[in-house]
Amino acid sequence: MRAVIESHRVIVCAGSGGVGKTTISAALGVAAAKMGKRVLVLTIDPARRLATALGIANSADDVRVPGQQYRGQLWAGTIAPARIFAEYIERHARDRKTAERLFNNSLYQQMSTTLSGSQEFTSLSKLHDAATSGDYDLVILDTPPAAHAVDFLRAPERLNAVFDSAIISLFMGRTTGLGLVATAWKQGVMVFLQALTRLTGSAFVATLSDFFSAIDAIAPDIRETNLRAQQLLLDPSVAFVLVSSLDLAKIQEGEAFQDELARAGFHLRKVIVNRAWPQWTQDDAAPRSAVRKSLLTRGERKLAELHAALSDYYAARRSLHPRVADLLILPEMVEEIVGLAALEHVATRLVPDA
Amino acid sequence: MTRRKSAPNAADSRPTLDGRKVHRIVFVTGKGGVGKSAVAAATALQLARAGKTVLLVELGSRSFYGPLLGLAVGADAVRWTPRIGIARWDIESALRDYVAHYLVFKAAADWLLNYTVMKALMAAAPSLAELAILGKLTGPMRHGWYKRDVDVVVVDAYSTGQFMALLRAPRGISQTAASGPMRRHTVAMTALLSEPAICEYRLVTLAEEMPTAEACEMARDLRAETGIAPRIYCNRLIDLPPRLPAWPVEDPAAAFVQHMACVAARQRESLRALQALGDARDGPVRQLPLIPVTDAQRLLEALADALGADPGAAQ
Repeated sequence: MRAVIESHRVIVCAGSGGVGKTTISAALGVAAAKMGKRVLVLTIDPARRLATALGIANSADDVRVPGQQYRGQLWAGTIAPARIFAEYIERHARDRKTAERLFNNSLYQQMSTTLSGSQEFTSLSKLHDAATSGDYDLVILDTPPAAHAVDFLRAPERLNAVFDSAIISLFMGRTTGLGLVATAWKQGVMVFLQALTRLTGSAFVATLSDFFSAIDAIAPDIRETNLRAQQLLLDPSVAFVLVSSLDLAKIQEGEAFQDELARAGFHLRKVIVNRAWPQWTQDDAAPRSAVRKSLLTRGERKLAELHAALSDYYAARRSLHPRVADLLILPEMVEEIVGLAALEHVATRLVPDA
Repeated sequence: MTRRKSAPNAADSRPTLDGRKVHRIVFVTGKGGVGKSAVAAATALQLARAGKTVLLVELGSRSFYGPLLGLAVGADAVRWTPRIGIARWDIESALRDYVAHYLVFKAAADWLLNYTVMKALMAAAPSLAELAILGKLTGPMRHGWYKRDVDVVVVDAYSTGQFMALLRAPRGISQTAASGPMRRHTVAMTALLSEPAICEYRLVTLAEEMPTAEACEMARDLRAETGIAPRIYCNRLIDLPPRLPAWPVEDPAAAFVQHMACVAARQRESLRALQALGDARDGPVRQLPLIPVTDAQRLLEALADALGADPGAAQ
């Protein structure tokens, strides 16, 4: 992992929900700071206690993580999609009234908070700004929560669909073509809008038209940012790290993600299998039987049985070997990971001599 | 597998709506990584053992059960066991079904089904996508012509936040759409999701701090939204004695015993928090054991055993 931190300016941590992606991202940040980097960890919706540990619980700006004594510097920031969208609008709206109209549109409110794709877009927008600002040696992005790791890669396409100029024109009643084509287009639009009204009622269609007219002003900027962020992700100085766990389904998902990344031209540099097995499990038979003997000597027959069952289980899990290139396996910690000290502990496991 | 005696009666246990027999819906949800999909599949097995025919539906862009069980899971049900079919419903196909049925003008339907336009509409109004999924799910309850010949549909639903967005979508749309068929549909869907004779909610969690906190919050949200309290399932519990012995630090078993003591403390803590939900949970907190096998089929059967041992199980 040291080499990945050493030789990249961006690390994108991907993975499906519940694998400990945010913790790993933060721990990677700690490791990089210990190595002397000025590093920013960007995360969306962190768990309360992690946010507190990083000092970002009540802050909208990037903050220097309190209580650190590293060679480098650890910074942390949260991504607030609604705020980032609002900034785009403030920048481009013709006037205050147009901006207000959009802020009040119910579809806009949905889009800027819950739309699948808007979290990813705002993450990328902020990542791009941070990575090109010159303020940091390394930026680590904790990708938004998703059912599957690949969802992150598909998000820009979803967002581009809504900011597509042809679609916006359609709802604004503008024609981009000429002559017959334009007439046919107009007729198509009429039929389409009538059908949509029939299906959803006129109020809904009005909201929809209003929404598309209002986002017209910011669409070029959104498309441009999307494009630049995609280019950034393709750069060899951007490393993807997949965080996964050790069960069959997650391994299969990880393999699919690896294939998809490779097809798209991104660079997967490491797969981290988190919480693979408890630290006390042993590969060898000798220490295992010593534990058993000790438990039985003290009359803990039930615990000895449990130890045997769990040891077999974790041994079986150890034999599940994913077909992935660069694998780093982290054992499960006994305590839950709370605070900077615990993150340092994880960091030591990611980069032993940091 | 032999057909059980109870099978012919199973259909009689289907709820009746406007004089028609319809299927029940069991939603299984929870934070990512808690074993929601495994519990959903085990729920299907458990119901099948009680003589019901089950459709296990997964949502989302790719199949979880397909690779796990070695099945080709698609939009149409594929047979897993004699009584269980598995299908994956994606948003595009559900929306296509919905639109194609209600639009009589072919030209208009073509326009709407145009890939770019549909993508844009779904991206602009994400609740349309949620609506399409719920529309397909509740089709048999809203239309006499819509046939789905199973006793129960078990939905391996989205995780916490996205699931609440799914449940809230019809209400949200009915506020925006003041008229038209969509308003009628969304009002009907909202009512169905709150009907305990039709819907059951199963909320899966782990005995760890974060998943438990999220489950507690969601249980309250679910009850507030639907009026139905979810059944709570605490997954992957290790059966430990109430008190673990103190252990000398140098002993070879120290690390193991210390870990188990931590697990025991965490489990006690989580179960206490889940118990404290009171009215926001349906019945007791259901405890599911950690099943120390890696083989998927064996794991699911063992989990179904554990679900079946629950007294209030297959009704």
